[in-house]
This record gives sequence, C-alpha cells and structure tokens, in this order.
Amino acid sequence: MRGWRLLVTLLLGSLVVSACGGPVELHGAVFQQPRQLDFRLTDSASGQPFRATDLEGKVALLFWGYTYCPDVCPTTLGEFKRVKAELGARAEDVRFVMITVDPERDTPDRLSRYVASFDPSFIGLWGDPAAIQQLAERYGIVAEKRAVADSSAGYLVDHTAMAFLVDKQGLLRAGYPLGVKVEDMAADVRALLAE
Amino acid sequence: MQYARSVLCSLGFALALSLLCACGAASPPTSSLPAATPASSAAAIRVENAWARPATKMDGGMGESADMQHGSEQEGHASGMSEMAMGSTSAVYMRLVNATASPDAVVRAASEAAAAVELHTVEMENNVARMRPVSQIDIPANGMVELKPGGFHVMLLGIKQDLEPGDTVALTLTLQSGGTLNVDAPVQEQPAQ
Repeated sequence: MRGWRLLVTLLLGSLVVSACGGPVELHGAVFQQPRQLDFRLTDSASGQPFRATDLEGKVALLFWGYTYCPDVCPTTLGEFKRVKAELGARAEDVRFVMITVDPERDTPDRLSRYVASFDPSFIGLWGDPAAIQQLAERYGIVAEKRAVADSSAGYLVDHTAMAFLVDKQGLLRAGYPLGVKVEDMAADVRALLAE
Repeated sequence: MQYARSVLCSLGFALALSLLCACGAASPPTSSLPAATPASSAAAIRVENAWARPATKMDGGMGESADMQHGSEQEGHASGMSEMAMGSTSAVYMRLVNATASPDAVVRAASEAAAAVELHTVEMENNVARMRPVSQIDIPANGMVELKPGGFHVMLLGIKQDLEPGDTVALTLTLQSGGTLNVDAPVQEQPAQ
C-alpha cells in the first residue's frame, strides 16, 4: 500500500515539474548563436520584393520546399496550418513562410497558389536559381536537383526538411525536424511572441 | 486518513483508466469499413486506413495539354513528361497487412486520377529529405508495411482534377504474388501525428 502511494505521489510530482519548466525554454533544436536572417526575394503573391526585414516585429516559421513535392512539403505546411489554428488570434503576429528550392518549375504564380491552398495568409518566396542557391548555401540548407531516370517527375529536389523559428528581431532561434509535435511548435511561437 | 485513502484510490483508478484508454487508442481499429476490396486472389493482403492528400490541379502556366488526356500512355514521351512534371502531385497512404506466411510486395500502382502513378519513398538523412522512386514496397509475411508521410507513398503525378476532402481516389495495386487490390482512398487532411 505504501509503495503504491509513493508511486502516485511520484507521478503527480513529475506532472507538476514538467508543467512548470523554464521561462523561455524552446522545444526545437535551439541555435546557441542565433544568426540574423537576411535575404531579398520576391513575394510570389504580389510579385513585389520581399526582404527578411519585412518579417521584423513578427515571429515567423519558415521552411524550404517545392510545390512538386507530394509528401514532405505538404506535411510541413499542414503542420504550419495546425500551428496557426492552435495559436488562434495570436497568429496575427506570426508569419508562415515557404522559400522555394525549385525556382525553375515553381513560377511565382504557381508557388503563391500552392501556399494559399493551405492558408491564404501563407507566404511563398521566390528567387532566381542563383539567388536561391546562394541563400541556401549561406544558411547551410541543402537544395540539390536530382535527375530521376525511372520517374515521370523528370527531376526531384533533395532538400533540408526542417522548419525554422525566427524571432521578432529576425534571428533564427530554433529548428524542427519533420514530424515535430504541433503543440511544441505552437508553444515555442507563443514563447517568442511574449519576448 | 480515511478521506486521504479514498482520494488516493480514486486517483489510482483514474490512472488505471487512462492507461486502459491509452492501450485502446494504440490498438488497430477493428470495426472500420474495409478500404479495399480484393479484385482477384489477393484477399490475404488487407488495406487499412487508406487516405489521399488534398491537392489543387495546376498547369504551371502551360495550359491544358492533349497529352494529359492520354494519361500514362504518355510515359517516356518528352512533352507528356514535361506536362506531368509541371502538373500537381498528391500522395496516397495506407497500411498493408499481410495475414499469410508468405512475403509479398506492391509492384505497381495505377489510377485514373493522375497522368502517372509511382511508388516512392523518402530517405531522411541529417534532416535532408531525399524522395526516390522504388520498384516495389515489401509486405513482410505475417506483418505489415505502413505507407505514411515521410516514408513510402503512392505518388500521383499530374492530377487530373482538384482533390478535395470528400473526394475519393481509386487505386489499383498490383502485388508480386499476382493479385490486385482495389483501394478507395478518401481525400482528407493529414491526420495529426
């Protein structure tokens, strides 16, 4: 009986501890030395230039993908959609961004329609192939075209499948692998909104 | 003390109940409607929880091409290929359960819903996703294989119309053992992980 009571106490105790946690502890892989996000691309919806500074004052979730990708990219955008729903009205101060790794096939028009099919507020950013490659290299993002002989796809693009959390100052704060818990991402966004 | 004990007892009961619930949720559904009907001698392979991803048909600015009408007959044809490459993609997922003592495999998938249908997988390495066509998806004997986001999937290339929740994608899977399976995959948003 005593052992059983101890077990219950321990279980309840561990629940309380995990609920408290630290003040700004993020769930994602935290970048110890956050880098400033800096780019000049094109907003696929308006065709206007879009700079990293256009995100300042907002918390952003950003990832690299392409519209032709049937699996990983819609999974990530679906996660973004659920994060937005989880945030409710707070999502007004959050931007959800996809940068194309396939600028040759992803015309701005196609890209904007693709991201809008998940949520009209989602932003698709386009740049010419050289600009995209340069940007990817600067941030250690893999974006490699790969010809696939036995596929009607022609070529596929191997790419980094992580979502990145950007704070209101434009600093890259954390990364999330594919399949991260939506609640964890939403909690981190809330933490940065409160900073 | 008596009171404290009864509180503890109810806590214990609640805990046991939640554990029971957790077990219930983890076990496969037993009463769901079958998503597949055996088209021939493939009854030993069961399809569960099939679903297709919503997608919007896009022509990539090239407009509707006659090639699209001919579907997979255009495989290998240069202009057909570029049209497929410019079209929209979707993916179908499911669990394939093999109740027999012999291993089997899906070797081909076909559907009227898209210009081409392929078996693909995603290899993840250091958070880099590398999608690749595969020649077959093995279904182990007395086992199962899961087609799920971030792994094996049936890729639809050049969908012929928008796929919206409520629609159904009809697929035919050809098995290594010779049979075929007809799968009706409802279009739905990706279930939460």
